[in-house]
Amino acid sequence: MNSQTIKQDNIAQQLRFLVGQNLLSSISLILFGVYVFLALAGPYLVPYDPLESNTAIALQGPSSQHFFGTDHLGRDVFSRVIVATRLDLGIAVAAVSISFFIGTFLGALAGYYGGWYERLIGRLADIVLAFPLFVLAMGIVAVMGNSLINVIYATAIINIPFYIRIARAEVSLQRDRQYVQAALLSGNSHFRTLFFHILPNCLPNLIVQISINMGWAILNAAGLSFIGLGVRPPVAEWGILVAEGADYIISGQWWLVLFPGLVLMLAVFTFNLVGDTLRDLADPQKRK
Amino acid sequence: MLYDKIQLIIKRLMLAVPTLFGVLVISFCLTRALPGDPAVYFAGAMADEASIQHVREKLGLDRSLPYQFLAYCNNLLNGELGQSLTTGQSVTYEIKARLPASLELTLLGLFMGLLIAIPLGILAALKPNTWIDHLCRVLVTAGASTPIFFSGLFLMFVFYYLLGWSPSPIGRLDFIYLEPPHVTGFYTIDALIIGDYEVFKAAFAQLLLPASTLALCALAPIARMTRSSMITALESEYVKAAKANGISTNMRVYVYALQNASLPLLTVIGLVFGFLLGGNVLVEKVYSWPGIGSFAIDALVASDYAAIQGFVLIMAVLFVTLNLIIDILYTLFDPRMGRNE
Repeated sequence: MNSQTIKQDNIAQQLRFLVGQNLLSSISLILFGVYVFLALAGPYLVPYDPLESNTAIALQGPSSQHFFGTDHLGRDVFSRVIVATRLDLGIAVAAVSISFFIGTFLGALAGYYGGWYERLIGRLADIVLAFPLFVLAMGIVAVMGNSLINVIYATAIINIPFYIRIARAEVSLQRDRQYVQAALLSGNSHFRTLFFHILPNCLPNLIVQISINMGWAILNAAGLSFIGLGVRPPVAEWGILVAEGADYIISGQWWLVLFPGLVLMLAVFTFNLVGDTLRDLADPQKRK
Repeated sequence: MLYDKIQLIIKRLMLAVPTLFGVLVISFCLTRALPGDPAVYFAGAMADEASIQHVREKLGLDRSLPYQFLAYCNNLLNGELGQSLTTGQSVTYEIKARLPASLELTLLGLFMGLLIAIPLGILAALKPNTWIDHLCRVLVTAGASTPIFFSGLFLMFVFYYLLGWSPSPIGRLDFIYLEPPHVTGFYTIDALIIGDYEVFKAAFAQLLLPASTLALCALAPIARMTRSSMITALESEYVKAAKANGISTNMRVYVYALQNASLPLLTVIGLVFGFLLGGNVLVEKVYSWPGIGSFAIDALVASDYAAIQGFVLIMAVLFVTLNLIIDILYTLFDPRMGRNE
């Protein structure tokens, strides 16, 4: 009797754990879908033109006409926040893809061939990580020129070391496996074996890193545009929207900062959660 | 034993040399990667061909790259980072004058973060899957996703506009107070040194909001690491052995486990310091804090390259130095280090 209740308790606990785990995962996946949808369809859905100003209705609080209120030029904050999704996610996707391809390529070669090449690449990654990364990104944008494309490059450069490290570690774990020997013996070149046999087996951990990196990239790009680098007003971008609202926060116009800030925060939160979910999926011990 | 440790520390110091060299190379590249001809830029807008040539020779830009690099290192050794165009002062002077403001803010932020995150992490590790553990997890995830400029503005709105508890969130000291005489450059400490509690209180009140913003940012990784390394330590054999020998719970948790869990914590503090140095720039912008971050932002807006390069280099050197200190502390505190060799 006693043991049975304990057992039931355990099952109930397990169920709750599973539901809890999946609930959070489901929420994050739904949010992820919403963001992708907004990035694709946002500009066609918004009620107002995000650039149209009308000073007669400047600095009005949230209402049924303007869900997120209006800014100092009377522009609709809701429309601006929604339209900005495409730009912010676009910057992050572009930056993360660049760092994924370059970092994985370098790291995979380092892990596969080892030797002085591995030490050189590892050293390079260490040197980039010796900088406070946001500061390095500022320096890169300042020197290469203050433009959107350079913000993307800077964000990509500061994230490359993470892919180098993961790809190197994963490939050097896989390198001596039997399937690799088999692939080489059946006449595949080293290049082909590395990129078509070994690398697909390293993908799960790299994909987790991509998701987490997306969050960082969004934060980084928004931070850079907050201090006036990259995207310029009047373009709608979350960091700029918060920066524009910052002047009004001490006079009480909170909606200019709160809504873009929350949407930005939720986006980063979503990518972090999706990353956690993917990590659990990739780790067979946790999948049980 | 001690001899082994000293040897290990020397090895760490040697390992930092190539990293520092790499940092120098990258910041040198930043100075030379300017779009167009740097000589034209540094000569100014009104320069004619002769003065551009003069600047080129003065900066050594007509020599080979390795020579330029050596000259650059030589200038750095003499503490020369060039001239700031926006303020007209040398970059070294500007950074020296502003660094204490940034350090005071960053260090207090880190300290506040540690003060909250470590107890939180310990509690979460002692009671896994209770409300405190969940609170810890929510805080950690939210902290990792909050843009630092957003949390800064949020705190400002709540504590200055709504509640009115905080003084006007602009600068280091309200204009009705006089700056304390310069000793350390930290207003709070300088005010304490001359015993002026009024100024100390004012400076501290001014610091509190920006430092809390940084603390919020530091909280997440520290709490997470405390929790996971405490859990590992509490489940270990030596804690079980201590329990079997009848050693009290407090002793086990706060002496046996915490001592061992504090080592991975040191590494995380190094990482967090890097975030904070970056986050500092954003916080300084939000609170109009006259530190090197605002200096760098002003320089960015004005395309004042020498100032930006000096800023990036100083930040990197600070970060490398701190990580080196942490490595050395690690070597000193970890009894396993130097035993096998």
